[in-house]
Amino acid sequence: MNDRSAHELDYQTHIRELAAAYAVGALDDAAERTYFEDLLIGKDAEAIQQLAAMFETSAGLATMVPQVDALHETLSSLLKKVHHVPKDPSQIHPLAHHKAAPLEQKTTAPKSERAYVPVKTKPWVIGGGAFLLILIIGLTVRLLNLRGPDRETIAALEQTQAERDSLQKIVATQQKLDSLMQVARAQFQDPAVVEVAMMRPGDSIVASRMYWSPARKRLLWFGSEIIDVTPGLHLHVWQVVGGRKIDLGSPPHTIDTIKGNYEFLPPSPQATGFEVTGQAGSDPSNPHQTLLVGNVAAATSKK
Amino acid sequence: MNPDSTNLQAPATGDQEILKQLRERQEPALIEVYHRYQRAVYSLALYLVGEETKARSLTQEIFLHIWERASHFDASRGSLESWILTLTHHRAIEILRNERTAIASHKTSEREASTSDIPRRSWDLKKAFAEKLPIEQQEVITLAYYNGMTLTEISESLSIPVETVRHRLSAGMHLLHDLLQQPGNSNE
Repeated sequence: MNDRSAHELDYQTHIRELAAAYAVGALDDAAERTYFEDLLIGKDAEAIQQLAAMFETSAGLATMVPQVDALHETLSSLLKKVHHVPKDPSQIHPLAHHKAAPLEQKTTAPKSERAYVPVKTKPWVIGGGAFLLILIIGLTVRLLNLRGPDRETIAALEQTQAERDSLQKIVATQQKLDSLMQVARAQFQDPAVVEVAMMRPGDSIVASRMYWSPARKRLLWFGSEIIDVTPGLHLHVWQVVGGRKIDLGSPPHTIDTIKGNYEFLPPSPQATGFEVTGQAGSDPSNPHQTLLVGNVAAATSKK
Repeated sequence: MNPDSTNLQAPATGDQEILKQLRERQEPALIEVYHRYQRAVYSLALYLVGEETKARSLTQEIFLHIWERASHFDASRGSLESWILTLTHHRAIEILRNERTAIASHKTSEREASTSDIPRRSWDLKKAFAEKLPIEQQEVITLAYYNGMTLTEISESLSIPVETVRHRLSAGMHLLHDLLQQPGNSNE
C-alpha cells in the first residue's frame, strides 16, 4: 500500500492525499496548491469534506505543542492596530483580498498587511524619548547658565588686559619722559652750563635765551623766541671774545621761518658775550643788523 | 493542555455568533477570540519559529488577519479553530522556509549538514498518538507539520519517493483524524 504509485491511486485517494498535504502546508509549489484549491472551488463535496477533516487534524497537531500564554502586551498592541483598520472591508488594502479562500497558503498577504498597518511606537519608547529630551534640555540650560558667568569673566579679563596694556604704555611713556627730563635737567641744571639772556639792543626784556657749556664747547639757542624783526633776514650767531666777534654760523632758516633749537660748535671757552645778527639778501657784503645781544657776565649762572 | 485554549469540538453556533460579531467589527468579539485561541496560536507559533519575538509578532498578525477577513471564513471547510490554527501554521511555515532560504543562500554547506540532523525537533506528539501511529508516518507528519518541509524535501531527506511521502502523510493524518474522533482523545 505504502509503495503504490500516485498514478495507481483512485480519485478519492488522490483527493485524500492532496488534502492531507495541503492541510500541513507540504505541497511543493503554488501550481500544486492552486490545482487543489481549484478542485475545491469546483465544489467537490468529497474534497471539501476531506480538507475540513484534515484541517481539524492539523489543528489537533497544533495543540500538541507545549502551551505558552502570549503576553497581555500582544493583545494591547493588537487592539491599537485594529483601531487603524478601516471599518469598511472594501477599504482594506487591495492585496488583502487577493484570495477569498479561507485556508489560502499564499505567502504574500501577511506581508502586504504589514505594509499598510501603521507602526505604533511602544509607550516605554515614547517615555524614554521624552525623558531623554528633558535631560538634554536641562543639560543645555545648565550649560548656558554656566557659560554666562564665563563670558562675563572673559570680558572682564580682556578689559583688564587692555587696561594693563594701556597702563604699560603710559608707564613706558612716563618712564621715557622721565628719562628725557633727567637728560634735560642734566643739561639745563648742569653747574657747568651758563644761561645767557639775549635782549634787543637798548632793551632790558629778555627776548631769547642761550645755554652755553664752556667745558663742552656747546651753545644751545632757542631761536623761536625772536619776534618783531624784519622778515627775510638771514641769521648769524656770534660770540664775543676779547671785544672781537667770531661768527659761529647760521641756522638753516630765515628770521620769518625760524623754529626749533640750534646747536653751534665749537664756541670758545673764553667768550664774554653772544650776538644774533640779521643780513638782508645773500650777499656777504650786505650790512648786518644786530638783533639780539647777551653778556656772559650778566648771565645768571645755574650754580 | 489548557481546556480554555482550544476546543476541537467547539460548537458551530458559538463560532457562527462570534464570526457574526467579528464581521460587524465588534471589538469585544475579537477580544473573545483572542482569549479563546491566543494560547494555541502563540504556542504553535513559538514552537515552529522558535523565537518569542517572532511568535508574538506572528500571533498579532494572525488575529489582525482574522479581524480583517472574518467575512471570508467558510464554515463548511472546518471550524473557526482549525481555520485560525491553519493560518498560524501556514504563516509560521512560510517564515521558516524564508529563513531556510536565506540561510541556504549564505551557508550552502550548513544546509547539507542540517538535513542530516532531521528531524531537528524531538518527537512531540502526544503519547497516545505516538504509540498508535507507525513511526514512518510520525516521521513524515513531523517533518511536514513541525519542520515545514515540503513533500519533495522530505523525500530527499529520507531518500524515499515523493509518492511514498505523500501516501505516508495522508495515511498518518487520516489515522490521527480517526484517533481524534475517538472519545477521550478529542482534546487531550
